[in-house]
Amino acid sequence: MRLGDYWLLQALLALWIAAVALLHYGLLANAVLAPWAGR
Amino acid sequence: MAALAIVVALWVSACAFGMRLLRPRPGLEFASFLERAVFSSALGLGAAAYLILALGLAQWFYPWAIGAAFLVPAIVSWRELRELLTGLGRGLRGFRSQPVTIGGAAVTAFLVAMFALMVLGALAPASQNDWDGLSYHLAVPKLYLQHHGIHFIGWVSHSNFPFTLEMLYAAGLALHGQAAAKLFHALSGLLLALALLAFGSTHWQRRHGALAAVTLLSAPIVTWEATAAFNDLAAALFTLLSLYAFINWWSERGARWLPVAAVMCGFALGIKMNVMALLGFLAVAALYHLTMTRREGAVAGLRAAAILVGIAALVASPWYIKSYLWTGNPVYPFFYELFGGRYWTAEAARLYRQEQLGFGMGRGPLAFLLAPWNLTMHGGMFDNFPARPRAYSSIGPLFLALPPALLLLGRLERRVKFLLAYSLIAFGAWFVLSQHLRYAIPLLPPLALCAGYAGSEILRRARKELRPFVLIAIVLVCVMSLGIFTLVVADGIPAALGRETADAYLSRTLDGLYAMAAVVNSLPPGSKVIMNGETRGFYFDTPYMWGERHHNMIPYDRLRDADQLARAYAALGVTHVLMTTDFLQAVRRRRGKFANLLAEAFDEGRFGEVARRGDFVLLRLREPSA
Repeated sequence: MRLGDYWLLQALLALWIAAVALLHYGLLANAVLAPWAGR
Repeated sequence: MAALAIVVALWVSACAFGMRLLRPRPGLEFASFLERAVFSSALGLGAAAYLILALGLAQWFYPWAIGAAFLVPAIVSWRELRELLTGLGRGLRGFRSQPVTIGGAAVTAFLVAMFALMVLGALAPASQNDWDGLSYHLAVPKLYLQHHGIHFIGWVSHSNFPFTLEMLYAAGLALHGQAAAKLFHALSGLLLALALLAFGSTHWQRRHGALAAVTLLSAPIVTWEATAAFNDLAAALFTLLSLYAFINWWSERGARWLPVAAVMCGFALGIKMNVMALLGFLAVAALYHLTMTRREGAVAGLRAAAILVGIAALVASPWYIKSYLWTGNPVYPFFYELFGGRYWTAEAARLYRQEQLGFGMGRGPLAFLLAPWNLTMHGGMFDNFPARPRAYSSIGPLFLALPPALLLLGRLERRVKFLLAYSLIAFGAWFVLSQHLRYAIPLLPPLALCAGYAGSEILRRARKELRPFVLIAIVLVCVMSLGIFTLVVADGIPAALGRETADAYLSRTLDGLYAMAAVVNSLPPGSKVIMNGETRGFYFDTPYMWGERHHNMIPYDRLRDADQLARAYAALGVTHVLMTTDFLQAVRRRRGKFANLLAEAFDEGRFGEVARRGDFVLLRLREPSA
């Protein structure tokens, strides 16, 4: 049986992809904007 | 816009010549017109660059000669030129006749928008975001053109790097101007995306290549580079094509793909030294494939590895031989302790190495394991200004987000394993040598193929209710990367379109440096400027040289007083000293031996201020006042 057959693993993967994307842009915005915000 | 027309014409002629060199024959068959066009473009551009190198070494660096380096190959390839144009027409008709899908239309729109922004960014004059271009990628070819030939320039160690792409920059500068030069880097970015599309269609399916191209262009560091006169995208292009040709050979697509892989690897080494791991990887892979998989024996394996290494070394060799002859070190200024090098010192080597090792977030085993995460989440820490990261100091999230999907796909496809293995080895080399964000660019296209394959398979195979999550994440990435790239190039768009003059744009964006260039360029004939604390001399027409750190043409350590410094300047013909105000402050505070010498010269009244523009001061050398 392949790992992909497991629903939970697929859900975790979808969560991982979405989380990495959101976290990446959140951190990028924070890093780029922080000096402008005077922090 | 004339620059665009010129570069397209040069590209077409180079591609036709490449098609002539890569005529389909037994052992070298192409799966598609796109595959043939991409390989031919790269080979033709590489060949043109080497012709230009030959012209430069023969001291024939004139626009007519450089134009002929494109024209003559185009004339001898007139049949291929016709074939190329009809092939293009057929390809476009085929593309338009395909059924329109939402996904296909979205990917096409994204790629076209990114290409358009890349071109607009490249058309704008090199400014604040193009430090290395203004320092040497554009500046050194400009010096070669001023002298009508390639010659040894001792004060810029970088002029001894492999300069294949810079030969095309020289062509752009000679035939039009900097916009044409910069477009060659944007063209490398475009060809990279097309190569990913071609690879997907050839070895898997079109959607895999499409997602790979989207992944690559979702990296802001990649798209920004396409607008700047650096060389990482060209190194990445030839690296990818080398791997691609190798996989073609290995997939029984013909024996002649092996030498093609070797030639592409040679060009990659002729662009940037830090892709050296590629050659070793391919040689070992060829040996492994023939002895372990095909069981043809060690002799056949060694022969294939020798062909690879021999041809690649031959193609790359002109640059390394030139460096050896001019500096005594084939990889100047690196490995100084091994090879030494003219105008270089152990101290300069130490400082350079220290700078190269200063990027990133640690060098231990744990840092290595965390590096993919850190590189994705804290890209700015791997760039030049970690305290003030730029919006494009990022590889985007897809390189980290998509490859784990491979774990769910069961037994891995062997091309994916091969590309993953290369990416991992290149990543290891990057981690050890210098963890600069830009230096990771050559490993991104093969990784993009793995990500594209993984993402595309997950979208096809995952349960229906989960697919929207993945799809929305990818769409978000596309929208964000398009937005970031728009922000990066927006300021230069009026200048790119001719709605703002280059003068106005550069006066606005390059602070005092551009204004100071006007002062320097109005100095009387016979003047020569030495720059301290600044290396960007591209806009200077008056002779100049870098003052410190990158050479030891002036042996500051051995100079005893300001008088000897003045004599050393006079021996080099230096009449003026340019300094940043930061550098001037360091001099006033007498930080280090060099600063002491300059401070002494100030005290003795040897400097007269000529001009002050923004953060720059220009001083004239004069006889001591007392």
